[in-house]
Amino acid sequence: MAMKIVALAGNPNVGKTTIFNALTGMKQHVGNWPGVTVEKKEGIFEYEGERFLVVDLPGTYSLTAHSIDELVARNFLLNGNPDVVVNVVDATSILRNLYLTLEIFEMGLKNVVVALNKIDLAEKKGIKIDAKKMSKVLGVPVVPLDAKDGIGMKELKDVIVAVAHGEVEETPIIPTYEPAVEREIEHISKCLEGTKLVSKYPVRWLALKLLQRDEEVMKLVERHLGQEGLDRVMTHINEVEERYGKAMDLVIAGQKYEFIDGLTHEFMSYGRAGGEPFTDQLDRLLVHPVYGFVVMAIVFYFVFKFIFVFGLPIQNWLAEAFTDFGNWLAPHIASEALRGLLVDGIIGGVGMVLSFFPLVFLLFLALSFLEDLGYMARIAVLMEGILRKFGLPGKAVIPLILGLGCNVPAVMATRTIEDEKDRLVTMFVNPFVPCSARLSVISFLAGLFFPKESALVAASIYALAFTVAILSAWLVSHFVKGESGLFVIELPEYLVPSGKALLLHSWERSKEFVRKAGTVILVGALLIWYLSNYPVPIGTGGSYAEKLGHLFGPYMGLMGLDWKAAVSLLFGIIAKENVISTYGVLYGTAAAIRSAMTPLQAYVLMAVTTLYIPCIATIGAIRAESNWKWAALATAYMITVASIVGILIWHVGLLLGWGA
Amino acid sequence: MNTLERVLELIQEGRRTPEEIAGELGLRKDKVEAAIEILKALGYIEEVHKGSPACETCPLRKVCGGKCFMPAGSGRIKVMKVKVKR
Ligand SMILES: Nc1nc2c(ncn2[C@@H]2O[C@H](COP(=O)(O)OP(=O)(O)OP(=O)(O)O)[C@@H](O)[C@H]2O)c(=O)[nH]1
Repeated sequence: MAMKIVALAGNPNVGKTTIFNALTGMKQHVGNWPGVTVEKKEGIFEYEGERFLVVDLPGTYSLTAHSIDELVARNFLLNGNPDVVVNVVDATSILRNLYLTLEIFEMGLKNVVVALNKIDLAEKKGIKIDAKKMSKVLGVPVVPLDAKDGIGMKELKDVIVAVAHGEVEETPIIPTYEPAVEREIEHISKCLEGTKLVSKYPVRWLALKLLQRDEEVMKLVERHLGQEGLDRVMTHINEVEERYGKAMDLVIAGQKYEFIDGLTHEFMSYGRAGGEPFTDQLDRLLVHPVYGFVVMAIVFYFVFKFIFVFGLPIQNWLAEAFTDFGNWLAPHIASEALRGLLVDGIIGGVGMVLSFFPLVFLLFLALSFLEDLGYMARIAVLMEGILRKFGLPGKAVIPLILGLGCNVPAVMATRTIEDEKDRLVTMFVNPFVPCSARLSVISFLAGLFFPKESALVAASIYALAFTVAILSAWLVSHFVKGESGLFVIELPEYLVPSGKALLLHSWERSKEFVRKAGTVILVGALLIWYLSNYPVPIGTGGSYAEKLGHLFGPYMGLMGLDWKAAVSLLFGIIAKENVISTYGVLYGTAAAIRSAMTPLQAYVLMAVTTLYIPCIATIGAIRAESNWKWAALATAYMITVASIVGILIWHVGLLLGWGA
Repeated sequence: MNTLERVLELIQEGRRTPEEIAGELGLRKDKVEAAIEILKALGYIEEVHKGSPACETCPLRKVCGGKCFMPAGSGRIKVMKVKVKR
């Protein structure tokens, strides 16, 4: 007597291999399906002395003729004469899995066993499945299984053998479609009647497949009905599709999906309200175009709160330490010029900037934390959607987020945007994103002038900068087109960040700030010191710095700022940190700065510093990635925008009575 | 229009995540995922794995969870359009 055949069918990753191994043990053979390079696994399963041949079919989601895997599985089910078909179903995603199950049923098989696998996982997810009811609804045996732990395998073996011996009467449920589709199925079935095909295949299945323009079935029909017969049927199907205005495969699949959805309600329920995992609900909120934005604003407010609460005390302490060091050092240096250079220039300027390292480090710590947690991925999706609405290519989201660290790599990252015009726009607006250097200026002024609301003030400057960036993109995009590909991504899972990785990552990103302090900022501070002490010391009106400052003084007056701000901003072009170090050199102490400006002036200075011009390195990067013209245009545009914003804030602030 | 067709339509309109589609249609996420798998089986959309040429220009490649789905055809055109600069 020939061995009876057991076929294993199911979606990919449902546990077929696990079940195959549990059934066959070591008695396996791996080869290829004839004529194709699809792996074929066979094994022997023994039950009370009887031997069965187990064949593992390729994992597929359906049985169309679209892929080799599906074709192999389908042909075996149709022509391989399996005595039992074990359809492995993943209990954690019933809807998707039953789609294949019903396709198997539609092929007219009446020897199917549903192995409802991963019930342990389903239980964990709060999915409750009544296997008995499921069996009644489907009309075939259903065996709940946790194949990984071998639970339910004995029952599965019993049922397989019973079905193989014809001891189980099956009435598999066949999906019904809307009446119009059913009429077409009937009509096509009639056309096929009387051919040999009907004795080999279920006619309803043939009709359905023809309606779905299944190429293999079309070939089959052509062989039996001739080209003319097939043409007749297909002409009819053309008419049907014209009537529907869409392809019938989509219509049929859609109705099958709804049919299955209806079935599942009879035997499946969810433990928790709605049954949706918390993370899914959270994701829905986080990528929502309105609520997601609100959450993002709140999160960033707390990021700044965190930075300021922990960072500012350290910054203060560091700044004092540098000042004390300078005071201690000064009497030890005889030469007045050298003393000024070391104490006022290097310690006053570079020290002031360096004292902000803790804040920069904490910003990166917070960003790395959000990134490792998985939240940055949600922000990226949210921002990408918003950018697209404003005409920026979605791809701009990576450069914009990178810009929070430094605009130079951010500008270089625009290389990934293949459309030249899109690339130019993204580069154009990128410098508006406040980099870590500007964070030091923002936190310096916010901490000094708004000690109580520093986090809120800082967050408002960031919000202002992003708004300006997006509005500018919208403006510029009127002259260029923005187009993004279509795709749907899976969000990465949430993870608990590891402390060590976070620290390493944050240091990796923030050490550039320290390196810069020792190079560009140092040179800048020395230059500032020189310009403000030669040919005569500052305060006499004759120093180079004052002359330079007074040149721009009247213009700065429009936004309530003075010549010292002008000098600071000028040096800020070299590197934004210089805005602080210039103030350090010009005033000496934080207290002196505090008494020289009003909070409103400080706010204007923060906004203008954030928006006014890319630093030299960024201008260079833009030039390298495009051309001089574009870099000059971006610079001019930023100066204009910063002036307008500065003047607006100053005058609106005065009107509101915030000038004092 | 049935759920499957609506999911396809939203993908073609540029929705980025199953979560967004689920939110818009008032469905559980796993139902949307099931619909996506069925649409893939029908050949309306195709699966792209992280690291394929199409990813090079993807705006979200840095945050990708491993794979994405693209409308069939559009994906292929996209892949051919990819030019790597420098
Ligand atoms: N929790 C749980 N995990 C399971 C169960 N059965 C299988 N798995 C796991 O699910 C994963 C996939 O199992 P496989 O047996 O490789 O699935 P497959 O269907 O052969 O997958 P493909 O070869 O991709 O088609 C593995 O990590 C298994 O350990 C189960 O009952 N419970």
